[in-house]
Amino acid sequence: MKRGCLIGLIAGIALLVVIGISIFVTVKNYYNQFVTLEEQVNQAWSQVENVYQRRADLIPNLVEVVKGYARHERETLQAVVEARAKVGGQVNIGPGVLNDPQAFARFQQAQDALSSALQRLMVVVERYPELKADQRFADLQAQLEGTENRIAVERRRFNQAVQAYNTAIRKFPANIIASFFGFQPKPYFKAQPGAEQAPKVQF
Amino acid sequence: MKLKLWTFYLVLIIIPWIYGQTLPEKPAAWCNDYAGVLTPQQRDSLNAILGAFEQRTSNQIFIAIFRRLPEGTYLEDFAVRLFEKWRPGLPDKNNGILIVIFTEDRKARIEVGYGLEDVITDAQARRVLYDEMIPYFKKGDYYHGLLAGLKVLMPAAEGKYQIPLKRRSRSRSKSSDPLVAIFTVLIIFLFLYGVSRRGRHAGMTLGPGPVIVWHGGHSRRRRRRDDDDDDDFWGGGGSFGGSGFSGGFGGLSGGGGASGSW
Repeated sequence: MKRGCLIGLIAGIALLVVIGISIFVTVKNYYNQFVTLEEQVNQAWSQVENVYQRRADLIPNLVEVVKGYARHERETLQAVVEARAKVGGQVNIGPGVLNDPQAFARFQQAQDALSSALQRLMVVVERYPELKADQRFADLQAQLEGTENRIAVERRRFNQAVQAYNTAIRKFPANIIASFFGFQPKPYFKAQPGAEQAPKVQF
Repeated sequence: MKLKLWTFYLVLIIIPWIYGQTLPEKPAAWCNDYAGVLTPQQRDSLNAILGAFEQRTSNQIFIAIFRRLPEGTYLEDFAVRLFEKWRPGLPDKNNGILIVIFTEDRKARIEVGYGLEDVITDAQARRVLYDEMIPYFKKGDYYHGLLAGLKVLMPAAEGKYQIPLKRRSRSRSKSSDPLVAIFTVLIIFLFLYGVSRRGRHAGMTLGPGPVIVWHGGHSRRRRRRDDDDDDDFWGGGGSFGGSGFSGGFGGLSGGGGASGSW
């Protein structure tokens, strides 16, 4: 009678230990996977910030050169300067913004406003052949084009990283562990209306 | 209604399929002329130049010539995706360059890896494209256009990275080829024999890792010398070499470089 009891107790403890270890291992694996994926999102985010910073840094020079030739385009230039100023306080805000969907939306809005202001400026300058002939402007234009392209690339990679992360934390049973440790889904970049990925028509 | 649903499914299946088709697999050579505008001699000479350059400096430059851009994509997007797939350059240096040309669209792009962005800026890439390459492209002389472009791009890249690729299985492939071939066959036979005799245990003790690594370098060396008959013998070597072009994973680009049209 006593021996049976003892064996039962030991078996019970052993079972509990086994269950405990397997739970620990499962949780640990999921947790570490989330950390890895979140780190990749943060890394992609810092690249996004870099390329936006790069664009913001280009603008003073660009405005300076354009001013020299296209004095009459004050409004267009002013719009760029203002949009740049709004963005100024927004770049390098760190990955914290990824946990605040509203701040993220504000960031995207400010950047997209700058994109469209720049686009208008680049349309306007078509009217100034002397400006287009200026080597400084040609170089700045190449840099701006390259930066816009980099922005598209880094935004796409960021969205891919977010997708991997969001998918991982929302799957069952990972979602239980994710919510226990407070892993939140992260926001995506939405396609810019008109500016992004519109395939150029070729004839 | 039923028809509509069917076409919907068809489109759903076909679009990703087409998209997947638009990017060719990672090639076994540096210069890839899918449009057929280079003569075999020109292609070999570009391969020789770029092969020797990579050997000497580790900078990897790929060339891809197509006829037309696939539907639903644009030049910059295509170039960066192809870069992502082919991964020119070393993984930790990102020192690759990809030159893409679309002959019928009359468009070209120099896509620069992250690691070379500071020595080949967008403005410099644009100048190389417009001042060196496009004048030749206009005349349909892609070979001399590429040569003129490489003449500027290679020293610029070399200014930053000069890592001779000595340890990348190169020293091994210097040994005489027939002996090496016999040796490989012997190892494979031993391996297969071991597997059949000892069952699963052999697989663990005789992992042919080093053979694969060495093979990659080997098959590529052969390609460059253009002895096709031997390549047939290697059969599977090509598939090993496919990823072993520069030891598997390579560099990335972030959309740097310049595009041009003529």
